[in-house]
Amino acid sequence: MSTLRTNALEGMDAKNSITIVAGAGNVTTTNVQEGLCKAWCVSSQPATVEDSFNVSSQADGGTGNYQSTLTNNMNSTSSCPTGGSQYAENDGFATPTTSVIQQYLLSRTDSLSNQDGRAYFHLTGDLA
Amino acid sequence: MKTPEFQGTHLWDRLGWAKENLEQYRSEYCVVWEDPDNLDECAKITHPDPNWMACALNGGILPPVWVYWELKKDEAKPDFKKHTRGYLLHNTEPVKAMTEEEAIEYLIQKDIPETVWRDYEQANRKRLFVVKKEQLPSHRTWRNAWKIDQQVA
Repeated sequence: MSTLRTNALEGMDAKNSITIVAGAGNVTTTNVQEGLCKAWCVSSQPATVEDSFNVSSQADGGTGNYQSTLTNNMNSTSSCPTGGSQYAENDGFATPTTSVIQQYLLSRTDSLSNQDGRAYFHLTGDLA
Repeated sequence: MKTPEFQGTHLWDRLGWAKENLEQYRSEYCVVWEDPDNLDECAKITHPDPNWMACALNGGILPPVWVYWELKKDEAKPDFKKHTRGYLLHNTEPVKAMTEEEAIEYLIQKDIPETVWRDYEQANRKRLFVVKKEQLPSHRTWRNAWKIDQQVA
């Protein structure tokens, strides 16, 4: 086995899109750009960012209601946010816009009342 | 730190450079605001992201704020499906280094609805304040009832 050492890979047809072809007969491909997480965030207190990527601010909209705004917009409203929380027992998201991810932390899966907590999310999809 | 020449580089790649090379900057300020289109809602508090603040203070990374306004206009169109002018984020000349005050002003215009900050000084109800985080209530009891005190000068 040989080792490829490089600092950068660049697509030929599209600069930011690289496809890995694998498997017999080149039947399996992986588009690297499609699989990357485009934004992530961890908030230690209500809407206070501890660390993140591609987030410009987080708004505390009330108990268990956190709104993150992106620095690099997504291409459409069909991006896919997923997340979790430490103290709340469940969480959910409003339909994203291309720049805003609205996360709700919920106290119990049966009552669905909002609750504050340490919050996490990450976002996949296509960038603008 | 000196920023590479980033005009034409994808914004997301610039953020990767910033994450690797810049120290987070935790602002002591936040923005308290009320949405005039949703008067029954409680006051909201926008906190700048420490990595974004580092980009703003360093300069040469973020696009001018009008780029975000253009994308918002596109998204507000009824037939919007996908952004077709994302290149504005990547190809427009990045803004130079900002002071902390300028960065907060930029963030207000980028991340808070225009109906909140446009002509807010002429409004008959106070709806926007930049405050130190230590000025916020120390506990979150009745958080959903927080409103801006209209008696504050």
